[in-house]
Amino acid sequence: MVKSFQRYYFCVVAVTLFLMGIINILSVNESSFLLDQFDPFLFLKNRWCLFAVGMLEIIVSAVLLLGQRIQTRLLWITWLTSMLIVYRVGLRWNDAPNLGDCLGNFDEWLPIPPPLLAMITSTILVFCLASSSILLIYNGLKRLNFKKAKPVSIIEQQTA
Amino acid sequence: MDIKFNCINPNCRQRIAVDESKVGYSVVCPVCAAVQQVPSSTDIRFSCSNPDCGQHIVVDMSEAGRFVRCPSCNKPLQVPGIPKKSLLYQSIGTYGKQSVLQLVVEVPPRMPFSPLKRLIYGWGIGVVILIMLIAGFGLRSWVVLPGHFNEIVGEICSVGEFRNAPLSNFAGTKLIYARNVENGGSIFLADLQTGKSQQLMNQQEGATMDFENVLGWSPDNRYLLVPLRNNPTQLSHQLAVCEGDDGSFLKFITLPAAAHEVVWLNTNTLVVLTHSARFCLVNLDSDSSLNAFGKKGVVNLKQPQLDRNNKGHHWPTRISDREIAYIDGGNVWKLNLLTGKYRQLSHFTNSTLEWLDYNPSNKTFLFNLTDNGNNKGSSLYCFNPDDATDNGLTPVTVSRVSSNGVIHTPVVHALKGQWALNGQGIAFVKDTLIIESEDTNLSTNLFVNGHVQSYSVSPDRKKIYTLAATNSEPLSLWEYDIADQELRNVVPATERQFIFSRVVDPVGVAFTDQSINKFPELIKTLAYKCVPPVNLDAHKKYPAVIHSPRDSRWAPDAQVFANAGIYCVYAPSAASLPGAGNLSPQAQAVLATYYEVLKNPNVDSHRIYLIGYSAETEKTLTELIQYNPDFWRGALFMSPTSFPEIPREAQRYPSIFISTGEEDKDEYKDAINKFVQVACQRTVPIRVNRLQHSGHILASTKLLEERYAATAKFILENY
Repeated sequence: MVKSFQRYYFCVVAVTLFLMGIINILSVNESSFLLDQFDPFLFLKNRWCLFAVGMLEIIVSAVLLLGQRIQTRLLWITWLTSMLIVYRVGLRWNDAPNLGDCLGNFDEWLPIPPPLLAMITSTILVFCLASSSILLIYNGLKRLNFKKAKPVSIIEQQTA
Repeated sequence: MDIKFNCINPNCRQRIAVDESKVGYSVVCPVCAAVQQVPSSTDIRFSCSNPDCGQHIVVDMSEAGRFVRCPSCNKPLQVPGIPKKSLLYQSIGTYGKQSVLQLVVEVPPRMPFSPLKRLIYGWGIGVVILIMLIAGFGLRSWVVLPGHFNEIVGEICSVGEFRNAPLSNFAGTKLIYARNVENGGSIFLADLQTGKSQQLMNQQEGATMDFENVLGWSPDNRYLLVPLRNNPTQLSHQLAVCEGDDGSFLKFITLPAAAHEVVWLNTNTLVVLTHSARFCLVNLDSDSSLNAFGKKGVVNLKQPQLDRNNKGHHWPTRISDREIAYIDGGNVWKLNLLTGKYRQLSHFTNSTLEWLDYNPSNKTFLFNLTDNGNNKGSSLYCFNPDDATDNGLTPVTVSRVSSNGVIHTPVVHALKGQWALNGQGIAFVKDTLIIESEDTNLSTNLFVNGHVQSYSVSPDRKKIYTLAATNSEPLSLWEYDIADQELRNVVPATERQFIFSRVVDPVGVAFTDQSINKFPELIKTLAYKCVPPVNLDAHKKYPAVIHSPRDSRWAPDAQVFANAGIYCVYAPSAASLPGAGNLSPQAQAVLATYYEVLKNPNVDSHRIYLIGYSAETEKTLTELIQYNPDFWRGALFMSPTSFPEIPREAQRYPSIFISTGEEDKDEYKDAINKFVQVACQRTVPIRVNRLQHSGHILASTKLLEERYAATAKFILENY
């Protein structure tokens, strides 16, 4: 069951990341003055930050669709989502605007109010991080169990 | 036959034997008292998967799914059982009656497509979802907007607003007026006989649209003076002198500053009040009778700077060929152009004077006087500087016949008093256009069911040209012949009737302020005006927009909203309301209206919006949003000057719509940018509609169309 879940899981996450990435990249073209302000952490214009995040999401999406190794793909998801979550928390901590949540404010073609978009994006990121982490741990434990298998002689003594 | 199995408690592992008939029953371990189910079979038998080993292994049922090491070859093996699906076993023989299973290999899930196909399909699905998302939002927008929405807005906004009252020439044959057109503002010359208008000049939309103030004819009708606007972002220092008959250009006059008001003294000389609050003289040709001031061209007059009250208006008016009068510092002054001397004619203290007019036949001035000490509002007065009694002031009264005889009441709260009928009558605006004449048959009250915005009296004082409406239709230009008592529409508002939209009449609703318990001083009966949606369905709920009070029955924004299916409500005038608590009277009036609108069964109480233009954003929107943001679904800021503070932890905040000109003042643009940034920090929904090449006040009908369409969409899409 876990294996088949993983199979669909990567597809769903890849499509979601691609969607988020393409929306970020399409938003770069808008004319809001906020896009020309500098990001407090990355020291880039918000326009380029959005573009960079969008590209990263699309690249990870490609890795998830093209890759074979389960653990590597899970690590990519965990890394990307944890970075994005840390970035969001940092922005919130510094009381800086998070343009990823406000795309609806300057994209007329995407009229999703910021509170709703923030909730959707946060849910996706937390789900991706949590699920990839759980799967990483599960698969790791499985390998660990395999290595730490106990000698059968003990059981044989008990069953004797 | 007994079934033997070990206790499930890993610390106990007591061997338990029960009868075969107890399969499935719960039993208690005699040693540790752990409750457990009797298994059907107690042993799992399998062989080592190492083909070189093949060791037969027997383990307890409870070890199913766990990993063990082969006692012979030490290879890790998973005991058959759990998980069942992830492992494949094959029978390698029998042990007694049971099959002996061997763990063969862990099979990775097979990918159905090649990597490239997976990428194409995955991204393809993403693109499809994105297209569906955008199409879904577009579809939703299409569904919520009424049919022919763009045509409706275009039709209503195509009615270009007239900028001020028109002026007629001295012969009464031509009329000049300023009006908003598609790309800005234009000055038109109308022939009063044929009714045809010709466009004299056009000012492109820009930061300044102050193009209607300086218009005038020379007393011989030979010249027509119009302001030149060659740069849309700043006022021009030039005036254009045109041919009086056809408006063809003759020459420029370059002034030291942009012209604000003009008065012609004679066919050769005019006095110009500039935006730097100084007078200068313009002689079209040299005039030796004016001594030092008679040289051709512009002559600066040595005079202290005038006050900046009343938006820089001083209402210069002609007394004679050599003298003008004007208002400065709350008093009437006279300027003699032969001597260049100024003389204060009145000596009022703590007063504000407006709309000065002079009647040469009885040498009397007419103006509105506001005594700033008693707070009773403005009253209309005649003033004769040669009359020593009562400072020369005589209050203007109107006579009305009643059952008690003729009653004379002073004219208060009136606007723009002007002499008419060669000094035998007075015209003024008090909700309607009132003409009061010595001949009572000629006294009248015009546009009782409509609205008067402005008017002018013809140079011969026999006709009145007014910007007014007889009902709810758009304002247009009217001519009223006082002697003949004839009213005619000289320039209609629209050339053709509306096809897609309908003009909706405002409905007045009287109510008692519900906030009286909180503010006992506000026990008043108020009345708000409501423009309901067209084709109102009594079973449906509509969004509502609450607006500050407005005098005119016609308002393009209200008509756009009504035709789009939105209630537009105008709060009652706050003039009579005192401020209550932290709220200004204006805000209090809007709040009282809000409580009243909630009672309307056709208004969706969760979709009530506030709208404010320019300074209203400070007086009403900011105050009311800070008072209680939960009341409002959204706030519509039109050319805003001020914004409310958004609390750091704003749980629920109204959606914000801002419409502003790209060439508005820098301080306003900075305020908007800061507010947008804070709104993004607090995840507040906000939309900014930036209008290109426009300042604080819009003139272009195209830009108005864009503004009102965006506003109506914002409300209907419920962003």
